Amino acid sequence: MAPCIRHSVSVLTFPLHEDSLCTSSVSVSVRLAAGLSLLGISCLLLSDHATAVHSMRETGLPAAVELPALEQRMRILKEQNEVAELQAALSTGSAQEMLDVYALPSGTGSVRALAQLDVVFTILEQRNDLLEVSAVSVGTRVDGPEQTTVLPLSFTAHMTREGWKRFVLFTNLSGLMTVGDTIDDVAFVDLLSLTEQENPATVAALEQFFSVDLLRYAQESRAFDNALLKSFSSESALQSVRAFLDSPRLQSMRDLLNPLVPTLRASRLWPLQFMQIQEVSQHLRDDGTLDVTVTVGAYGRTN
Amino acid sequence: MSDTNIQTRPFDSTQDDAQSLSAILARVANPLLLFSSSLCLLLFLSWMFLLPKFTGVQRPDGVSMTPRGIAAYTQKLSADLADAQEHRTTLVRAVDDEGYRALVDARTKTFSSLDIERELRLTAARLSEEDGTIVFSSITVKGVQVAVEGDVRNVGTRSLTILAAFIDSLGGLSFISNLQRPAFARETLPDGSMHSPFRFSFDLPAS
Repeated sequence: MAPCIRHSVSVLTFPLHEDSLCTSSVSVSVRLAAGLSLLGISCLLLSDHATAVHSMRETGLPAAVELPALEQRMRILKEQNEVAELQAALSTGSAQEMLDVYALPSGTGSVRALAQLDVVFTILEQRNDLLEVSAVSVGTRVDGPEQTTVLPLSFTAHMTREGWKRFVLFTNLSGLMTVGDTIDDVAFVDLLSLTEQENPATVAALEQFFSVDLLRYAQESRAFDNALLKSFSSESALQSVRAFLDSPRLQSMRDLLNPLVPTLRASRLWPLQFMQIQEVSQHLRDDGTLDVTVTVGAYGRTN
Repeated sequence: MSDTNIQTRPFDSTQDDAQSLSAILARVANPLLLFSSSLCLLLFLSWMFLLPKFTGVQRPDGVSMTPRGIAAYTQKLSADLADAQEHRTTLVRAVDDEGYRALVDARTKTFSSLDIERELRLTAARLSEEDGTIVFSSITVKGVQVAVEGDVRNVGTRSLTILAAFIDSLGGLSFISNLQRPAFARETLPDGSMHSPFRFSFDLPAS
């Protein structure tokens, strides 16, 4: 029996034969290599465990917390899109055609733009807001943004401050056709988000409201407002919708357009051509009235 | 007292270092193999069965995913949500012409001379002077360039100080850039009162 290392406490003993140290050196190498390899694999597995736990904490858990709400929102949006598609298919008339023909007409004519200015001057004169106005000079059509052309129309007027406010609002409303056009993207998305918290099908009511002709809305705003409010039930949603309906922008738009309805209908100027104030110089008179020199751009599509 | 009894093979002093190293390695080989194989086996079993169980996330439809998988899935869902939201906006808006929307948005963001006058009046009011102290007689807007003319009056010799304070406070307004300060002067009117006329210009943010 070869000498061996023996530990009386130890359970395992490893007898080592002196000769075997030489003869089994290959076997020892194999065992060592196998041991080290397995140790390496263990390290890799340990690292994978650590990575998995870290990944779970850093990305998995936050994503898992977020997931149910996202999936629920996705379900609601799909439902709403189906309702909205159905509603869009049922709606008659093409707003796009109205846009191409009236709001951003192609061609080089200036008749509609001049007629629009004539209407607003007439209304302001009737209200004693326009005290004097020069002839309107028509400039040369120039290229505008978004594949448009711009026809500059310039005039000088003496008007009250209220009259000037009304003129600016009228210009800012020109080219808008539906209630939805008067709302900026942020308010639009906020209102749509309300429908997600309510019955998702209320998106149809909102879609219907947004597609109402602006002039018709100015004439019968109360009826349309009530119809919209009836679609919402929760107090918070109703408050938000009321706040939107009572917003100064919508209020001033109703106030301006309401008295203009008969004139605009009779003169067949609705929808108005898109206009924007290009240049303005306002001078205050001692009596508080204003002398304004304005250049308004009337927009049209390039042919 | 230790009951440890260690019997060692007599060490031959003539053995070279290589042999002693071989002996050490021979003694270590088996425990190392046993330890590493056990550890590897346990970790492999854990990797196969425990790790997916404790680090897997189950989707509401029952599909189990890895943390990375669930993060990628959430990201994709968020992108799909944005698309669906945009599609809904397109459907709900009666007119969804990009060029038209861009024109309307640009016009909404444009400052009118009335907006500018209101902001200037508010700034003047913050100086706590009486209404009518700072008068804006002319406002000219050409694109993003604005020129303002006016007068500081009815405050005696303080007109210049008030004008300077007003111009300084204009610098804090977010929509004003490239402010060209006026020439500060105090003049005497035929009735003997003092006033400080001004003319300054600035640029509006491009819409």
